[in-house]
Amino acid sequence: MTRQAGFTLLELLVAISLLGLLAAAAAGGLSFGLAVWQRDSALASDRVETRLVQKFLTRQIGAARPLRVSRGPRQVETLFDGRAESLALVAPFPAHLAPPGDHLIRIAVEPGQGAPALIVSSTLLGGTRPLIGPEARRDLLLDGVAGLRLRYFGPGPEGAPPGWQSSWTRRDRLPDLVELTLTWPEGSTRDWPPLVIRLAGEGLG
Amino acid sequence: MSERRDRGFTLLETMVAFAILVLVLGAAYRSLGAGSRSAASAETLVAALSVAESALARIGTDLSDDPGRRVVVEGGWQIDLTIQPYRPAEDPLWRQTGLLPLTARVAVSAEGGPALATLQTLVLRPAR
Repeated sequence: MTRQAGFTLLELLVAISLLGLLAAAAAGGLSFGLAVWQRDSALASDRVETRLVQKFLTRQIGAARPLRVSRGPRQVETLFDGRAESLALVAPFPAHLAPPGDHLIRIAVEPGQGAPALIVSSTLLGGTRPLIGPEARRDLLLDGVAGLRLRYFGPGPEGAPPGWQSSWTRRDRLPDLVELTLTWPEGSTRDWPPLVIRLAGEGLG
Repeated sequence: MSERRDRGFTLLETMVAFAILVLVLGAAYRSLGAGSRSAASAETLVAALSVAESALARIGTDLSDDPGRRVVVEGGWQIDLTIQPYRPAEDPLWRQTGLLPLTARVAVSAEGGPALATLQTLVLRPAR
């Protein structure tokens, strides 16, 4: 009969503390689940970005071509300045981003909006320049990177057998391959394998 | 019976209810874990695809384009490369070009694991 009168203080305390424990556990579980969810969706968007950037670099570096200079009769020279940490070349830029025509394109890790980022700078060389509008553009391709390492495959100087070289400044020939390795800051979840790009115009020039 | 029910839940009923709750939460957590694992394996697949594309780009320059099968191990990846004559090579079109078409197939796996990315391309070399 006494039970009908209600809960004792002890029962109430036990019930409240149990509820508190359960609520704490549920909140902890929820925030953990949310963190996992957010990390997974960040990884997924990183993956999409990875593929996009790799495709862009493959197309852009693969499209490198010799530059026609009018210094002599039909003289052709390659303007390909490959360094260990940056690369400049001549290639068309994607039509939806820039006017048609050859662009001088530079790819390097530079300070972006504060932190280092993979930056593509381009200047229209020939073609028809619009009367109004930027002559050069600078696009941030990828942020959260620490550095860029490049290697070039092609015939060695003075008839040496083909091999990987840390720079490519020859004016008579493009390299056959470019290998691009990105380094990431400490604690980054990204890790790309070295990206090897074949240059379509390798034999020209 | 009706008198017992009026008094509320029994300890047993409450325990069963909690057990069911725990099972449901456990299942939800397992699916979260599975999602996380598949995200990690997708990460590996993207890397394997990039390794495979890079390997195809190297054929004929720093990887030999001689017909046959060879396995290269690089940076923890196993690159399995098979180069075979392209079958419709007898086509007069090819004879005209003076080129020998080859089929290059690359399968990339983490060392000892199953193939994660498989790509195929046509490679041209001068007919000798």
